[in-house]
Amino acid sequence: MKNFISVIILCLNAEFLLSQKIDFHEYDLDNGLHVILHQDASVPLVVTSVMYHVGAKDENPERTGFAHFFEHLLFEGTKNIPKGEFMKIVESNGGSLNANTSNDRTYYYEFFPSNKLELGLWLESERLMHPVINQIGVDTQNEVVKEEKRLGVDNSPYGHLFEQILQSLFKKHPYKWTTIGSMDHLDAATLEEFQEFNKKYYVPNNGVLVLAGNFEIDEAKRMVEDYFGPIPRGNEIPRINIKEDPISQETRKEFFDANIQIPMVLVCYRTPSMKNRDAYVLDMISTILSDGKSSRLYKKMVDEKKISLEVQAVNVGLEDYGGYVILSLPLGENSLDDLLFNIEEEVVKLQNELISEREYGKLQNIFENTFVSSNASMAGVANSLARYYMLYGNTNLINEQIDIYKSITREEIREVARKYLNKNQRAIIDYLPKKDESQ
Amino acid sequence: MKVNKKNMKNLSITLLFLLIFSSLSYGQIDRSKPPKSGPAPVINLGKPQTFTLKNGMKVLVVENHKLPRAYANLSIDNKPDYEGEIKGVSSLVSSLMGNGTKSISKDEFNEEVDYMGATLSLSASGGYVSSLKRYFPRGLELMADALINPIFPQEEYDKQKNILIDNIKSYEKSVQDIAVRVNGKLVYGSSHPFGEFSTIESVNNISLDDVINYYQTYAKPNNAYLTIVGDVDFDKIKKSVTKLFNKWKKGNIAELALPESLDLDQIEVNFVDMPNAVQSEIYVNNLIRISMAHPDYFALKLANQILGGSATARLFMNLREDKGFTYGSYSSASTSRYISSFSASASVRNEVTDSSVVEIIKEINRIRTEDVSEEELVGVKEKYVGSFIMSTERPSTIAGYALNIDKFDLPEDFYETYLENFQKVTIEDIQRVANKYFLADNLRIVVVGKGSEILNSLEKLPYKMSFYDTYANLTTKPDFSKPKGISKTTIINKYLDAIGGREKIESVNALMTMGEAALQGGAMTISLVTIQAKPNKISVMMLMMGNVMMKQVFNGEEGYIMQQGQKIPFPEEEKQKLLSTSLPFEELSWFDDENVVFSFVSEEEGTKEYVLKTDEKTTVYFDANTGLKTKEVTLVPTPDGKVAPQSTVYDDYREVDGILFPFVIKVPMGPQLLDFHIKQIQVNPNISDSDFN
Repeated sequence: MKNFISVIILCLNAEFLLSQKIDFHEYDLDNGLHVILHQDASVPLVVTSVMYHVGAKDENPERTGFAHFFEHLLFEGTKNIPKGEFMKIVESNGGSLNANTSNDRTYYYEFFPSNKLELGLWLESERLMHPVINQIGVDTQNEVVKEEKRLGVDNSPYGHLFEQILQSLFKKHPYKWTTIGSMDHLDAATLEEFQEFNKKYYVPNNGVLVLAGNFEIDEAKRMVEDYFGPIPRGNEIPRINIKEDPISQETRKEFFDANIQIPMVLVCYRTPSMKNRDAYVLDMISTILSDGKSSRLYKKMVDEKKISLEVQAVNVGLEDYGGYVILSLPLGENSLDDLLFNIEEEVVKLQNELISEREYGKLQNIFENTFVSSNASMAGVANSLARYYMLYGNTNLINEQIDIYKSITREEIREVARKYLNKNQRAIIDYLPKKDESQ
Repeated sequence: MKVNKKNMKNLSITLLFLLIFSSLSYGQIDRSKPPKSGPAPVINLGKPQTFTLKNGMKVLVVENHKLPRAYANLSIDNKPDYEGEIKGVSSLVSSLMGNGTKSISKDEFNEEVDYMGATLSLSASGGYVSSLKRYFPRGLELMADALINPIFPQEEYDKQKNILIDNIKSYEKSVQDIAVRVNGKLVYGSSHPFGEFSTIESVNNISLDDVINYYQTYAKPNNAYLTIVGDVDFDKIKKSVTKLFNKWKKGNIAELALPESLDLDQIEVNFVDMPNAVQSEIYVNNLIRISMAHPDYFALKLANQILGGSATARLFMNLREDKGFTYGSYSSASTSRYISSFSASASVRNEVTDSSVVEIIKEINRIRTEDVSEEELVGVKEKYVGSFIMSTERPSTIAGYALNIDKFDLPEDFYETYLENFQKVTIEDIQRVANKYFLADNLRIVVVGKGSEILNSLEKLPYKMSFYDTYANLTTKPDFSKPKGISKTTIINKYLDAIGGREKIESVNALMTMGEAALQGGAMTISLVTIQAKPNKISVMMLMMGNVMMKQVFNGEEGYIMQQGQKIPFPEEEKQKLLSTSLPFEELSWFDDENVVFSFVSEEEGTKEYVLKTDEKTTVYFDANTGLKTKEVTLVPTPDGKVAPQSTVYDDYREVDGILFPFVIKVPMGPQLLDFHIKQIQVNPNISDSDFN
């Protein structure tokens, strides 16, 4: 009987993988720009996006915040797009746009009704080919970025969270600073430095262009060549190679945030690159601990014991290393040590006991569901294609990643918990409210 | 292209031609302006398959096999009902549902939903479930069970009721939230379901029986729509839906007539005074009666888009970009089968409240009397076209459209001709609908703000004024006139007399205070030690568990701030402030300080207080009876770019060496107050200059 059931499950999976497959076509232009095309005639839109392999970790330690600053600067205008017009052109053509920067890469995208593909290509190629980087633009965006830091970090409750995690886990690697960077560094930077940065990283051989949506492949290829072909190749891009010493001693520190009233405890572990199989296992461990009302930490700390307002386990995946963080906010007068004790108890349980078959089944379902949903929108597909190509070196992970999750065993989950989530490997942060010193 | 080998000349010409041609292949594109768009994409809107159960529930199914998942959305489309004395009962029903059923405990229910990787929620007016294809039948079954057989345990009821009351309390002082509720009630009328809101009183009126009764009355299939979208098979799903939902019994839902909402016969300003307001909330409204099926729908949407539909529309460009009055100003013109409203709104700085009203009305009049430009019209059409086209990427859109057609009695081809109908709208149409729906002579202007600062200028506007409290009850005009015989000098003198007399105060050369506050319910203690001395010397030290967390020192000439081991020089602005004051009692310097003025009389919660404004950001409150200082309110910037008041409260005055000092000082920490209890005060202690190093 049991065998019979597994055959049915296998069939289900086969059917599922078949209907799920994302077809794509990828190639390089002569100037080194990597191009990925995903055609889907069932949607009425097209996404044009470019990911550049430059993030906060590529910055000069004396000039942090540069990568993110560029995400702003490169909307300032180009030789053919007057200052401030980029957004208006997109809006009055019924499209929308956005961009974001991480420690590893910078990503720009627009989406338009599918008859505007050429417009999207023009906008993105102008950004790469003809950016106007002048003092006016730098000064304008300097103000904007400062405002962003004020709103998003300095005045935002728990705004220093990520910064504190990174500082706890990284001592040498540039992951120790956040993407927003230092305002002093940005103030001190000269126009020439910005132009240099652009010349070094914003070159076709450091980017991947993704088109996803409704278009004709041949026509799209021709247009890509027309708009991006004439852009000259840049120099070879230098990559950092900095290794951290292993963490072998528990640390604990306090941080005070004036914008909060409820404290938080964070337990942080340094983990390997998101490309490593163990990182996938850690994703699963997060789900066991805190995904859904029946997850271990939630059920115990929030629902039953009522000692916590919220508890979350998060695996922060980055290209060179990762961070595994469990955070919790106390309910009422419960202490942070109390939370820590309960968190530790569950981590130790994962190291000593295999998860149940039932929980294992739940994991499979949740990851399958996430996988299916992640490809539900063209914007999501475009982002995944760019990320898997650039950061993982395997575009087809968009179809294969689920196999990795499915192959993870209960024993592996226990092993990975034993390997990375030990007491002497953790950095604890007491994230506490601070009285506002202006009062 | 064939090359004639015999003719070298021709060959070279051909090569030359090829070269030119290939360079032209780049040159063909003109980079100097945005490329032209191709023909607009054809939209293939799926049509749902439908059936109706005997109990009246209509089911719409959209098969979409692109991804192996599905979702079901249930919406009960009852006519809006008035909850009245027990307003809030529907919210309570919603928060209780979806936590177990008569046959499955809460824990088992939650575990199973999680196991399937599904999402499931329920409310008094519907429900939602989404999951992988293979779990969808079970997900739907759980939703149906939770809907038809819910449990309402006393314990969960008590918990949810407390949460609801906490929520209401939490916005009692929020100018934005009060403005929304007052505006709704004034626009639609106090006995209209669109106008009522929950109060602590109404929630306290609710009993568990009311909750159960509400569920039993309204959670009926009579007017229900179940939409199912995704990788399902119509025949199979029809079978299982029929089986699951046939058990849901039809009932009688009394359809009460909605009370008539009344238009104004002239422009009227409805003012609500909130003394804590640092910005004014303005809503300029009139009722409109237009359903989606009306032919004016398209022109009205575009007219509103031009007026205030986005951050590139007229209201925004005028009030924010041009005048800098506000962070944003927008308008909306919603449609409804019952009644709806046109509304233009903005949150603006106190001092420009009247000018903002004037500008909003000006923009409403402009779109009624002047042609919009061709460029504006084309721009907003494109925006609608783009977002409509792109919305069809989501299968949920198709379901939503099908539902609208049925609910709102739209023509079958409403969405097929949707873009065409937008394109047909002319410049004349915009002006016509603006006149028909933006009623410039019947606007209700609701302003919630700080009367003492804005009422004078508002009253100069040529409109009728009436006054309301924060519950939208008619009230009398608040009195902000300053009482005779009261001035800055009398307020400060009364305060000094109250705490020990001016002579006594002036004789204090130095002062040391030590206070403590408990954090995390007593798990930690913060201590604050302050030493002040003439002339203008101050040292403030904050300690936590014996460690110095922060230290500020000013020795009368210069100072520094030390924080987490970092020492930064005293900000110049702070330095100037300290130099012009008279520590240890800064009030002594206020007699001659021109920046300090008597601002207004505050009457909150039955206490009369005189308020001095000491600088742009700070006001200080004195009890009119006792003369004692009660609080200090400072404006601080908030994350969303606005400003918010933060109060430091002084309480429990006690005598030390003939002078009264507050022994409880409540300091804001986030949205809460941290209570410092004074443990020690020394008047004229022995101090040396080294205390200020």
